[in-house]
Amino acid sequence: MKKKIIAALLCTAMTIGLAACGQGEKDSGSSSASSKDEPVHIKVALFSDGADMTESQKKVFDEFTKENPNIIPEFQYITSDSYGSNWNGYLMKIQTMIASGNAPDICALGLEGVAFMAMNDLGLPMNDYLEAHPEETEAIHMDAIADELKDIFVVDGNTYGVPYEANSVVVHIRKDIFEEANIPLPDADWTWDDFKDICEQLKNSGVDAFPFGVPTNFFCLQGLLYSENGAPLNDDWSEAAINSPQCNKVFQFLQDSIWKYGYAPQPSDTITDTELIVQGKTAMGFWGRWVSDDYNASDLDDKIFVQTMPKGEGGHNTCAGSCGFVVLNSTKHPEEAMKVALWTAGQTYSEVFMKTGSLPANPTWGEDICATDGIIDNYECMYDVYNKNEWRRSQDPPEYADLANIYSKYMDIIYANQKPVSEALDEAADEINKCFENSTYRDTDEEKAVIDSLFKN
Amino acid sequence: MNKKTKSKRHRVFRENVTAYLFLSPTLIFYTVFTGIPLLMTIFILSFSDFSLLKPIEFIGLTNFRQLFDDPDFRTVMLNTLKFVLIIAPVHIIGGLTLAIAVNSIKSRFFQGVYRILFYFPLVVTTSAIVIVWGYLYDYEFGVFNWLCGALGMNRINWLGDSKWSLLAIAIFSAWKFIGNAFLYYFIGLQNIPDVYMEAAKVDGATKWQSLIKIQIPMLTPTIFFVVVTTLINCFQMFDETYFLTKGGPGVSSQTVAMHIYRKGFQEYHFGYASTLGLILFVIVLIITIFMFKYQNRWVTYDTE
Repeated sequence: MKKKIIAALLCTAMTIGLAACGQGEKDSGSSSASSKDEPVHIKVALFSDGADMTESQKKVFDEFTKENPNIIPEFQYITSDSYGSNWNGYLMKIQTMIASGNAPDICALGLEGVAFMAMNDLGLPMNDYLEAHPEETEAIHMDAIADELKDIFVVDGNTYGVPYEANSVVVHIRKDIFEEANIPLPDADWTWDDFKDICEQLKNSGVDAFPFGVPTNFFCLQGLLYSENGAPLNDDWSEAAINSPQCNKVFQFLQDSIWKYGYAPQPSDTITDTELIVQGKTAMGFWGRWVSDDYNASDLDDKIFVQTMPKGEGGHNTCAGSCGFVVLNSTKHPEEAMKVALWTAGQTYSEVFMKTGSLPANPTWGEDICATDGIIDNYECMYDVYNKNEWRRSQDPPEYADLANIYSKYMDIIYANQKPVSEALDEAADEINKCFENSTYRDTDEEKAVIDSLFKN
Repeated sequence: MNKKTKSKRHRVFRENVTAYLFLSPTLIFYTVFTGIPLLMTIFILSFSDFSLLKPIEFIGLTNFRQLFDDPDFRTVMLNTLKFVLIIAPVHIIGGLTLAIAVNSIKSRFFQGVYRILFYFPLVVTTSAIVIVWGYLYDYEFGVFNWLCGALGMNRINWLGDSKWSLLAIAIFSAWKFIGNAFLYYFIGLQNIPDVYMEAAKVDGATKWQSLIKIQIPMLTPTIFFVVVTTLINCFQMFDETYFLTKGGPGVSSQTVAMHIYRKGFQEYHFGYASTLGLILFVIVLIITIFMFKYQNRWVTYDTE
C-alpha cells in the first residue's frame, strides 16, 4: 500500500514539475538584464512565411552586435496562414504573447496593423527618441524615405516606427510566356484596354497558360480599384464605398475574366496565385516585390518583368504601403528596443533581409539591392510609383481584421460566380457599415479623432 | 462500530485516496485545460466583450442578440446540420457495412490487410493529406476533372462551387474518418462469442438471420457509442472544411466550429466566439442527453 501511495505521489509531483518547468523556462528566457554590465537581450518578432532565415539572422545579428556590443537582438519568427490577411494571424500571436506576459520588445508591423496597435495602446511612441538621437536617423538616411511612407506610422501625432520596407503593387509578367506568344512587353503608359488586348492575344496564341491570375490578396486588389478611381472605403474611412460603380467595374472584369473570357483561372487554395505564375500557368499577376522570394526559390532568374498598373479612370494609381518595427509598450528596455527598431530601417538590415523579398523603403540602397538580385526586370517602376506619387495606401482602420474577413468572403463569392457582382458588393458594403456601427473603436470623439489622424492619401 | 468494520472502512478510504492520487495528473490537466475554460465560456465569456488585450467587460445578452445580426450565423448552422445529415449516416452505416464485410472474410491475412487499408487514412494528418485531395479536386488542374474530361463528362467545380463543395468535403470526410467507426464495429464483432454463431448455424439460421438476430443486437452498445461520438464529431467538424475550402466559396461550406475560430482567432471577438461555442455545446448536450435517455429502447447490454 505504501508503495502505491509513493508511486501516486511521484506521479503527481512529476506533473507539477513539468508544469513548473514551463514557467521556469519562460523566466530564464526573459529579456531582463540582471546587471548593468550584462548585455540587454531584445526580442524581435518578425513575420515569416516559414522560410529558413537562420543564416540571415546570424548575419544581421553579428552586424548589429558589432556596432552595439551591449544589445543582443533575438529574433522570433512568427508564421501565419490566416485566411483574411496574413497580418491577422501574426498580430493574433503577438497579442497572445503579450497576454501571456511573454511579449517581444519590438515587432515588425505592416501598415494594416498600425491603427489597431495604436488604438489598443500596444506601441510606444518614438518621437522623443528620434529627437534625442539625430545621429541615428542620419545614419539610416531617414530623409530619403518618402514622407508619406513615414506618415503611415504616425498616429495622433505620435511616431510608432520607421519603415524598412515599402511594397507597391505592380503587374508581374512572365517574359518567357510573352516571348513564346510573340507579344511585346507593355510600356509604362499602357491602359486597361491594352491589358485586355494582351489577354486576348495570349489566349489566342496557343501558349499553355492563362493570361493572368486574379488577385487573392486584398492589398493587391486595392491596386486595381485605385487605378479605376475606386476604393473599399470612403475618404475618411467611416463608410463602405466598395459598391461604387468604379469598384463594380473592377470586380465585374475580374469575374468575367474567369467565367466569361477565360483569361484567368478561378483561384483555389491548392495552387496560390503566386504558384500559378511560378509554375508558368499564368502569364501575369499583381503583387509587390515580396514574391521575388518565390521566384528566387524557383530559379526564375530574368524571367519576370514588372510594369506599373495599367491606366484607368484613376490614372496609374496603385496600392502601396510600408512596414516598420514598432516598440511594444510592455518592453522593459525602451531605449535599447528603439535603437534596434531604428537600426532595422538602415542599410545593413535591408541588405541582409531584403536581398530578395520586399522592396526596401529607402531607395538610397534599395535600388542597388534590386539591381543586384537580377530576378525582376524593370524593378525601377516599383520606386516610380512613389516618385510620381501614383499610389494610395491600403485603407486599414483599426477594424481591419473584421474587414479582411469581409473582403475575403466576398472576393471568394465573386470569383466563384456565386452571386452577381453588384449584389455581392452591396452585401459587402452592408457588412462593412454594420462592422463600423458595432465597432468599439468609434465610441467616443477622442477615438474618432485618432482615426481621423491616420494618414490617408 | 466494531474493530473489523473500522479497519475495512480505513482500507476503503486508503484505496480511494490512492485511486485519486493516480488519477490526479489527468484530473489536473482536465480541470485546467477543459473544465475551467468550459465554465469560463459558459458563465463569463459568453456574456462579455473580451479581446485578449482589454479587461473582460460584462455586456449581458448583447452577444446573444448579435447572433441574429450575424449574417453568417444561419448559414453556418445550416451547413453544420447538412454535414451531420450527410456524414453521420455514411460513417455509422458505411462503417458497419465495411466491418461486417471484413469480419465475414475467412482469411486472417486479408482481414488484416483491409483493416490497415480502412484505418490508414485516419493515421495521416489531415493538413497533409488535404494537399493531395486539393490536387485531386482542383477545377483547372485536378485529377478528378481530368478523368471527367477523359470520360467525355463536363468538369465539376468540386471546391469552388457551393453546389458541390459540401459533397466534396463529405466524400473526403468519409474516406478519412470512416476507418474509425469501422474499427470499433470490427472489434465489437470480433468480441461476439463464437458459440452464439455456431448455435445459430446448428439451428439452421441463415447468415442474414444470424446478422439481424444475433450480431447486430449484440453490437448495439458499440453502435450506440459510434452514433454518439460520430454525431459529436460531426457537430464539431473543422479540419475538413478549413483545409479544403477555408469555408468557401464565401461561407457556403463553413461550419459552426470554423465560424467560432474565425470570430475568435481572426477577428478577436472572443466573447462572441464563446457565445457561439456555448450554442454548439448546448445543441450537442441536448442530443447526447436525448440519446442516453432513450438508449434502453434499442441498446442491449445483456449478452448472457
